[in-house]
Amino acid sequence: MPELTESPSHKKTRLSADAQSPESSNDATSQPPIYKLKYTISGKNIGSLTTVKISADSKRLAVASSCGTIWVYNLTDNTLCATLTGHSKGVSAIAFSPNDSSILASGSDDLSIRLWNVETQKCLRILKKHTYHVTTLQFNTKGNILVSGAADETIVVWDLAQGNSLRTLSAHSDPVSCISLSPDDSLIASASHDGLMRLFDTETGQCLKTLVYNSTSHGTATASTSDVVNLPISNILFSPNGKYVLSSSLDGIIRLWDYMGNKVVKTYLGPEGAFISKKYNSGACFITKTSNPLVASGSDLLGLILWDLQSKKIVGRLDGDATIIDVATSDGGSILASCALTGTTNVYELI
Amino acid sequence: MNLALQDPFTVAKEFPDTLVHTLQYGHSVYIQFNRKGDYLASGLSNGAIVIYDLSTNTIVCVLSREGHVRPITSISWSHCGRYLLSSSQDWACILWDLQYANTDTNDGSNKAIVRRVQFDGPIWQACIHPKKPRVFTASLFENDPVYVNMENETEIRTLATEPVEKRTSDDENENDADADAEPVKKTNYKHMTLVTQFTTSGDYIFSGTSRGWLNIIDANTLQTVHLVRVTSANMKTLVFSPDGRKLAVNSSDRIIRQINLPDMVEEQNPDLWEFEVEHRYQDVVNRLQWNTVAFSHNSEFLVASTFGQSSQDLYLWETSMGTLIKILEGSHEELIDVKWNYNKCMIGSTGLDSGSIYLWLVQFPLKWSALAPDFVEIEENEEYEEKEDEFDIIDETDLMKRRLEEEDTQVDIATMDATDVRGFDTQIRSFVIPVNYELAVV
Repeated sequence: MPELTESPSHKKTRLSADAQSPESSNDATSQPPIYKLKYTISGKNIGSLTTVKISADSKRLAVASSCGTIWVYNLTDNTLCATLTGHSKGVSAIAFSPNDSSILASGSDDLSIRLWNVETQKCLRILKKHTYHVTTLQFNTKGNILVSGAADETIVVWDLAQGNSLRTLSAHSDPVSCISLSPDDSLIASASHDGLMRLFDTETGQCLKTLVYNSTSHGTATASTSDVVNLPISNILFSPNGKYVLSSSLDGIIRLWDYMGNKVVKTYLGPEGAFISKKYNSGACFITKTSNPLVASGSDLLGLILWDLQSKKIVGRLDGDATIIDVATSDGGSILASCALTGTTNVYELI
Repeated sequence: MNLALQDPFTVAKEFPDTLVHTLQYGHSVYIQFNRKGDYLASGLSNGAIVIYDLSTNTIVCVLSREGHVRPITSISWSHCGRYLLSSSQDWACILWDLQYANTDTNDGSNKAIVRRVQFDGPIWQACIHPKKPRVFTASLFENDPVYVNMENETEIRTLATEPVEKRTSDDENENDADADAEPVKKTNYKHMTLVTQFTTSGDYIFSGTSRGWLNIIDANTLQTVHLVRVTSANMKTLVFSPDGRKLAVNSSDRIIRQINLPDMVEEQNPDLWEFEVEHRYQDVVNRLQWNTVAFSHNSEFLVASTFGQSSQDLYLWETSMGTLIKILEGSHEELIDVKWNYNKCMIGSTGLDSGSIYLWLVQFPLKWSALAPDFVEIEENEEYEEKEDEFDIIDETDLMKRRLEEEDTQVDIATMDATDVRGFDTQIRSFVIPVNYELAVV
């Protein structure tokens, strides 16, 4: 996803080097490699890439660009199987239907969401309700609901059997940057540039929980003191069992939250304590196929970073020091795809 | 997962109490939830069947093309949730495959119809085998009930309504008017099977007759292994509790009898089975008849719809003592069918006049404290007391360091909870009806 807002100009606490956890000084290069490059899809020279997704059946890979075109490839052999054109502005979010990999949804800056049939390359439906750039999309596991978030500060729940919107959740005061559905589809987690993460009940649309990370030990989400800075959240993701959420914020730090206990249980930092992403909404994902679960995330200038979930150590880095906008996995991480701002998409497989 | 964040006292409620949704599409006469409780099938008076998705309360598919042309009399879901068996007054039973519910064919045939079984009269109701989706039993109007096996060719076998030998010995103890009649004469009076149901294990078929007899038929040999007279009137509904230990018999003598079933797996000898009536539910004052009954998930509650235009409520009893604990109100018409959705803690019912489906739910109160992490809902005002360190200025790097050091706990991101907060299995794998993304279903 391209940058939605300027890097926040709020007063921010820069971490001094000695504040970093000792683990982060660990040299990633000394570790045995986890992934090997399968192939690279080179850029198309029209606009930069914004997001990458792999279908649930691991058959297809799709990338979207800021020019509004979506390319769909066969994951196994890297052949282009569809070019979807129709959006008049850049596409920031795409999602495959979980039970039919020929169905793809895309959300664009032209305010619309389109449903595509990849096989016929036809647009099946146009969903319009958002009044500003659509930034994030996700299907529920049954494939009959699509949840979208937009820069108009709302989240819309769409019923795809009828093709209309079921409800609009407006509980943020800045653009919604990311949403994630819990594995049982009962919760929608949303992340916004207002610094709040909210958990909504999918069926009723009620807000059930709000998470916020403050720069200070005290202070509130609602306090108007200048001491309290809620850092914009750029990405949110439920853990595979739905008990935790992983948040990336534009203070350059990734956090794993125990949302029931309102607390951060793990904090992930870049190499040498560097910031991960302060500018771009770099995607993140969990990798469960490895012996120890990993967290993977793109970054502003550090390529793709892999952390050990438990120890928070960096166990691998891919893509050198490229700007990685989004990452996607299939089958718990046996395939990992990263898309760089420059336009190349790298597909890796687990060694 | 949403339940863990809701008000715990509301989550702990065992039965729904508020009419929340009314679904209106056609004139619904029969409803059935699937096992997972995420779909609701509604049979209409024009013969169509519509399936609602309960997460959106919208229709995901309509089964009507090449289907029934007269009112639906019953619907039952297969265990896996992929197949649906419907019976109708148009003399047919249809087995539907929901995989193709939204698939269009060019030649006008409906791919979703797996098999159509035609009978010589209307069907009271049909019940799918709990384990084999291609086996069902049905009770027929003015005819003996049938056992139908469609695994290969459709094979229809007639089940006995009254085994003659058994009847003679049993009738000696009866002081019924017909009891002293000869077995030969038995066939002279109308004695019809009105309802047939598979037990939850699928090993036996229970059938109820117009004279109040309960026949227990072995599902393998199709021989009547036991029979017992529960009432002297028509049996209208037989409902098993989900655990298979209780049976509710709704009869036209205005009494619902709750029967404790013997352990039919451990005790193989049918002669030793005893059917003890635990409770009789009746409205002594208004003398109401009951339309249909349904058990709650743990059979601790029983709900029944009431017959007659004067009554528009659902009665809910607690089954261990047999006391009436709640009357569910809200509909403005007589309610016919009633079903309990266990996983969603929902009761659904159909209205006689409008054909609407009413859904009662446990409604969660809005929590304002959810809108910010430091909001707390309090009963009354509290005196503010400053904590010792509340306004201390702590060096942020120290704070960060301390926070990072505290993060040494192991986190498990993979293991799902086996049950939800209410204790229901979260891992039920049930068929997902493919969505038609191109066209709105209705």
